[in-house]
Amino acid sequence: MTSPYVAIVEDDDSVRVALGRLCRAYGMSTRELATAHELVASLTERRPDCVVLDLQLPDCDGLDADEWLRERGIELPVVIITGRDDTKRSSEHVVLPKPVDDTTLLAAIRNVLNGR
Amino acid sequence: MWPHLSKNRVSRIAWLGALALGYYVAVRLGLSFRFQNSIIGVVWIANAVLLAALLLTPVARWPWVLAVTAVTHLAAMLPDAALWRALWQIGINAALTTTTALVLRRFADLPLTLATRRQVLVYTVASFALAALFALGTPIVVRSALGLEPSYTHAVAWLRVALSNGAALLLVTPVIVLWGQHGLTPLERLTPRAMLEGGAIVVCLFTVGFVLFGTGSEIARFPALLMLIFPPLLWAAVRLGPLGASTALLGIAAVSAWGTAGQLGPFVAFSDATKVLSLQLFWITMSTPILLLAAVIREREQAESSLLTLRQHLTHATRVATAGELSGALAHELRQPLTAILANAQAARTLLDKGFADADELRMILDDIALQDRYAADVITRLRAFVQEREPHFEPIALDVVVRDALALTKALLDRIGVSVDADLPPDVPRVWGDAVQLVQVVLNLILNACESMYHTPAPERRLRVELARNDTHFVELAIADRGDGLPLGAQDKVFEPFFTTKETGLGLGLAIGRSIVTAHGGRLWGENNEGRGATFRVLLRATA
Repeated sequence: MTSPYVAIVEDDDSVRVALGRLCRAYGMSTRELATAHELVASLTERRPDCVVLDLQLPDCDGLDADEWLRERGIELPVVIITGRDDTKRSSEHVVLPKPVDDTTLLAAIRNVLNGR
Repeated sequence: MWPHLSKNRVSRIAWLGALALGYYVAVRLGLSFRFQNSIIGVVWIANAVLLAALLLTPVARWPWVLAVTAVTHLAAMLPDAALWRALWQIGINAALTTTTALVLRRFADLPLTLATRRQVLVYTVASFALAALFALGTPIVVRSALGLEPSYTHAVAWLRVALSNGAALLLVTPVIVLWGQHGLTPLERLTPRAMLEGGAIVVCLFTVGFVLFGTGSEIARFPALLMLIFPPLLWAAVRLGPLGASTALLGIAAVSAWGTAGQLGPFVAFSDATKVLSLQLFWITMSTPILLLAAVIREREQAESSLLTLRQHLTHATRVATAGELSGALAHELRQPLTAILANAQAARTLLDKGFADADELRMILDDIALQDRYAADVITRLRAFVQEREPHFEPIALDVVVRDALALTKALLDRIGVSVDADLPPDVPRVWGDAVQLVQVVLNLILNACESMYHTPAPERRLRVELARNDTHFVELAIADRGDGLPLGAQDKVFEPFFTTKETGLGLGLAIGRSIVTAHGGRLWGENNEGRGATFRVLLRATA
């Protein structure tokens, strides 16, 4: 896969913009979204290869969003990032604590893409 | 015995010189202040000077003090008295003063401050009992018992020597010791207002003193006038502490002695012996209650000030505890800018490595990094200001800024539990007189309390309304309304009791501390249930203008 298309769902503008820059610097193309609703709306246009999802979104929990997608048969590789200390609930997912290093983030994205 | 430092040696020699001079003056004063036909002084100040010197020096240096005063005693007495009598006096005086000093060292918790009732009582009892005891060994008492002194029976001689020494120890020693310990620093520390009050007390004392003891014998017909001495003395005891009280007592004693010696004042109608006894009893009965009162007031002041310090520590401790409760949310708040900074820096680095770097893009990235860094620094600064332990600093405070600070500190928490805040904070509300950090603490506790009460409220309905308004011309009111469980019915004030809590975590001190802070600001804090859901807490504070 030469240029994966990554959706970044994060409500904090500065973090979203910075993560977008980082992914693009590594040659990915990105879509930056602030809420889970925006993510769902964007799926009708172009489906991303992978989603970087913040655990704590204003309209819903990142894990709930992931579940919602799966219930509708939308299988998307997800990398979850979180600023919280409690990552218990998400043992089945890759959960990266913030601040996240570029190598860690890229490796996680690569892993979920390959695992598809 | 002396330390090697020559500077110290010089100052010690100067100290002993001053002692010799003071002792000499005291002996001459004692000798000159006798009524006709008496060889016993009304008040033997020399022993008071000696006891004060012993109390002000370590035991190791007592031999020097005793030696210097013995030589001075001989020099001052020999013109009037035989050598054997002077030596006898030196011996018995040394015995009295060293015993008193040792008893005080053992039982009175030196240094002598006369700032506790216990010390005043121990001092009074010890100086009197020992003065009475050692009077039995003085030449005049022993010799009159043997029939060698024609002018006295031994009982009268004993009573007069005992009272003469007792009055001196009670009136003079405290003044020398207290001023000797403090030097002039108590005067330097006075505020202009306290100085004015002290001056007024001195003027009153001397006015009353001179009216009572400086007028002719007609004053003796109105003995009740003697009571006039008490208002200024009580004033001194209440406002000036043990140092001021003992100095005032000595001042009054000096004026009364001067007047009586000049055949003025209320005691002149009596015979010489009765005059002396009246003066001594007047001094003695007046001293102990006044010194006790000064000690009681000082004890109360100290209790109040330690209570205040304790309350400050508690206020600070609860602030730290609150910050602890917020730490999870604050960590999240710091991780956001840190995430952005790291991602931005690594993106820039990668762009440079790959040769894609565009100057404008790099500039934007660097600007963002700086911005995020400042944001993180603000979070830390706000938190530091909140948890720092410091003296309260009262100044005119804009409450809208206080509320904004408290909201900023709780922003991450409010976001996390999904509470939307609707704040109406007009900037033109008058300022209030207060301590900014403590007021932030009050508002923050109210916000946290509101958040906790909304635990059972469905997420979309978790709303907080914060309203600041001028209540009337004199007060500013801050209202914080939640949509939570509300206050327990019929016990709406119970939530302000310490350790009252409805949740599993937390000490239940937030609202209690909040109310004590607001009360200390001269304001009011109370809570009431809303018409619909939840409760509203109101803070009323006096406006500065």
